[in-house]
Order: sequence, then C-alpha cells, then structure tokens
Amino acid sequence: MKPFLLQHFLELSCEQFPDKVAVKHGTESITFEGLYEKSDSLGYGLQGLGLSRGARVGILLDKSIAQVLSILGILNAGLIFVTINPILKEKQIRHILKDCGIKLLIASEKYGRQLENILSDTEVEKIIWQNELDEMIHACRGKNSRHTGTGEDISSIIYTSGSTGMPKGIVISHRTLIEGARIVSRYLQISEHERILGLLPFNFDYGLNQLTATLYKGCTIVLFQFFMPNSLLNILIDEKITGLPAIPTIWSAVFNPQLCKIDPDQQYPALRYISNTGGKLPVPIVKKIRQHFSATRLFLMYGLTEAFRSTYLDPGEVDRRPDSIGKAIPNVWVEVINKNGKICEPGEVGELIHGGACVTKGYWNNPELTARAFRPNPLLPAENQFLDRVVFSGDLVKKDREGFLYYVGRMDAMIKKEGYRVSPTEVEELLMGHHDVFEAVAYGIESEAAKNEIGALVTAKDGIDIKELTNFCRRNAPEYLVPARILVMDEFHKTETGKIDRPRVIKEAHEKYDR
Amino acid sequence: MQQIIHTLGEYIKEQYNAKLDKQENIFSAGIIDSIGFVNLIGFITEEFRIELDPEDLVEDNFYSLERIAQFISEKKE
Repeated sequence: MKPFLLQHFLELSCEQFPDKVAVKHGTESITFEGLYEKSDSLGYGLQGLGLSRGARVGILLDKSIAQVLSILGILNAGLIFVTINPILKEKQIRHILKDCGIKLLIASEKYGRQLENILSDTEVEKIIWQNELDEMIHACRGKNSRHTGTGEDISSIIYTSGSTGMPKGIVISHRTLIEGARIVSRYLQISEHERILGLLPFNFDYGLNQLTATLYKGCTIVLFQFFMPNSLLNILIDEKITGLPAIPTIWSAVFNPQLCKIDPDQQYPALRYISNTGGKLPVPIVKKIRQHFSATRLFLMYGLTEAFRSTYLDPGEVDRRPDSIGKAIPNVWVEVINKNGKICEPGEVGELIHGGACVTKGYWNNPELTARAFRPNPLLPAENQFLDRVVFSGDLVKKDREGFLYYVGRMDAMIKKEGYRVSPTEVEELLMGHHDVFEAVAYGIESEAAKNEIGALVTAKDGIDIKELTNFCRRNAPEYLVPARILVMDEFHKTETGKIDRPRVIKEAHEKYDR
Repeated sequence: MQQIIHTLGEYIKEQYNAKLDKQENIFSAGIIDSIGFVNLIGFITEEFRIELDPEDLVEDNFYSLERIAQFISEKKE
C-alpha cells in the first residue's frame, strides 16, 4: 500500500539507499538512514508532548537539516507542519500563529527576541529551540513513532496572500504532496542520481516539492540560501548540481551585470534541467538562460498553491513559444472558461480552472473563501457538477490553436512579486499603519527586468516623508511587501458609494508624475 | 573603520529595527534576505562613494559589519 503518507517516501528510499546523502547543507549532510532514524525519534519525542492528533506545529527555522528533520518528525508524530518563512516580520508571524492556533513551535534561538513580542497574544504554549532538537532526538533514540494515518490527513498548511488582507492558510493533504512529487518527478525525469539545488523556501509549494521529490526518488537535495548570484553560479559547479529550480527574481539578479559577473565560456556539464515558476519569466530572460545554459533543458512552469502545480511547457517548445506556460501536467486537466462557465475559443481570454490531481483541501478557517476558489466542476452536467471539485485560479489566460496556454494577468488586483502573491490590501494596511498616512492605494507595476514592483499612492494627514515611510514599511513587513515607489497625492477620487476609485486614482497619478 | 561600522549599524537599525554585533554573521543572522542585500549594496556604494565590480559581490566580502568596513576601506585606497 505504501506510500500513502509523505514519510513513506523516506521509509522506502531508506530501504533502497540507506548510506546515500539525502540532504546536504554547507559542510553538513545526512543520509537517508540518518534522516529516517532521527525523524522517527523526533516524532516519538513530539508524541510525548501530549498534543492532540492533527495539532499544528510551527517551524521558524532557517533552511537547514534541522528544518527538514522537523518537517518529517512532525509528520511522524501525526501532526501538521506549518513552515514560517523567517523573512516575515512580527505582524505576519503573529497572524500565522494565531490563525491556525499553533501551540507548539520549533524555532531558532536567534528569533527568540522577536518571538518575545509576539507570543503573548497567541496560543503558543511551548517552544522547542533548535539546539534542543538534538537532545530530544538523542533521548528518544531507537524509539519508533508508529503513527497511523491516511493519505487524506492534512500534512501541512502553507500561508500565501489572499485577495484581501492577511495571508490565508492553504490546507494540503499527504495525498496532494505525494501526487505533486510523483507528477513533477515524472515530467522532469528526476532519477536517483539527481542533485537538486534547494534554493526556494519550503513554505512555497514548489520549494517543498524539491524536498518531496528527493525523498521520493532517493536523490540528494543541496540546501542553499541565495544572497549573491555569483555564489549561485559557483555552487552549481562545486556541487555538480543537476537540477536548478528557481523564480524570476533570481534570474534578474543573475543577468544584472551590476550584480553578477558571468563568464560566457563557463560550462555546466552536470546541470540537466532548470525550472522556473512563481511568475512569468520575460522572454529576454528566457533567451539569456537558453544562451548561457545551452546544454540544459529549461522547463517553464505555472502553478498556484491552491492547486499545487498546474502546467509546464515542454523544453522542446521553449524556443518556439518562450512566452507560453505550456499545457497541463500529467494527471491534471486545465481549461480556460468564460464568464458563462463555457470553454473559451482559442485566443479568447478567460479564467484558468484546474481539475484532477493536486487540488488542495481549501483555506484554513475560511469556508466562504474556500467556496469561492474551490467550486463544483462547471464542465459536468449541471445536476452533477457537485461530484467534482475544481480550483478557480483567478488567473486570466488564453490558449492558442494547438492548446498551449499563455498567462495574461490576474482577475483581481493581486500583484505577483518575486514568487509571492501580494494582496494590495495588505500593502495598503501596512502603509496606513504609519501615523502620517491618511489613505493608500497599492497596485502592480510591470517592469522589464523580470520583476513586478509594487507602486503605492498615499494621501497625507499633514506632511509626509517618503523615505521615512519606506523605512517604516521595511521595519514592519518583509521586503516583498515594500513598495518600490510611493507617490503622494492631494486627494483620492471616490466612487458614488464612497469607495476609492482605484483605476481613476492610479490613472491620475500616472498623468501627474509620468508626463 | 569604527565610523564605517557605526554607519552600517545605524543603517541596519533604521531599516530593519535590528541590532547586529560587528562580528556577527549577517547571512545567518536572519535579518536581511537577498533583496535586502541588494539594497544594502546600493547603500554602501552611495554612502561611501565606492564602485563595486561584479567580482566583489561574494559573501566573503560582506559576512559581517566589520568585514564590510574592512572591504570598504580597501576599496577606497
């Protein structure tokens, strides 16, 4: 029957490749057997803490072997892991802890001071610090967690921006993680010989996919924290990386001559594939990747966390249609539908819907929003649509005559930046937290350099210091929420119902400042 | 040197509401992510009027406030 829980991947790979390195991070590494035994002991230790089955456990750790052990230990204990990206600030971390009622947190000591300010109004009862993990594992050595569960059990909650306000928790079953690993490994042809660069964070669906594929295939993941593009190019060579999953921001840094020196003659003989997700890669960058990594296959992928992974473009098609997001991944169908729920003609813009594998369970704590994004299948006969559930992506796409899909934009005002979905409301709330700001409007600015930036317009109560306001944003929010430019307006035009007339305000700002 | 370290420390305090010891490893301190780093490099080039070559942009030159200050002093010579 196995695998039906994610940890079964590890169990099966451990039987086959016990002495092989599963995870490498700098000079540290751990084999499949080490990972299996330690995560089993950790699971046993966590079970001893008396949490009820299905309790959520937060992980606030940097990318590390300890983070991987924590994920697997939590699953072994029959609990749900919630990975919190350490780049988040107090406000966002508090929201996640509260929203899914985290009682137990595994955290790095260095975030201790930050956590002191946060914990008072959360349900967190216990923190296991990173340096206590080893003690717990050691104390439970040889013990088995023996968790029984089903593939439909919740494995993880991934937080991502919704169309309004603070991030929403997307609930993912073991089955979805297993399907995602199998499907992606299939079309990327991942084998046991792979050395995958673990560059993307595990609180991002595709980042987590690098770990699950590693456990599934018995290959190796090399964890890497991206700071400087030159170091990325170096590690590809030094670690003989075969698979490089990345997002547009990384490429805009690599191909920025002020940030990175590229040796045009450099070869990457080991590098078998590059995959891109988390936003559309501009065609000039696609061409640069093809030129510099000419022997490497480039997979352009598209997915949203609600449906884990949706489409990819066959590498053989990239030079012919570099702006396409391809077709549905195996065991998944996608369609473009119009407002009447009918399938669009080629060239007609409509909403992308996703059915088949990889449909997640919905949003934690939010039945209304879940009912809006996860709906009955409109392609079935009307009376039987309830039998199937599909994801309405909110993404506008079109397809060509051969069925290749092209991303057009968002139906809502959501901004895609650096692989994050940013809700304008979240940025506006951030700005209005400053005492000089009266009203705020945030919107997306598309730029050539593969980066979508956030623009913001504010009206002031009195005077306003833009530089100070930007610093204020930076102190209170992660970098991806900070507007690249903030403009001060005298006032915002209102609609008849008294709401800010956003399109008009944005247009007026454009006329005022860009002419 | 001390003055440069102080200026850098103030920048971190102002931008990130955080305090770094001069020898603390910036990359593992969990304060700055990669985009923040690009901003820090922009600040350094403007504030200290130095020009950076792409080959300068390796972690070895930036791992702590003290190391950055040393690197800036070398570039200014």
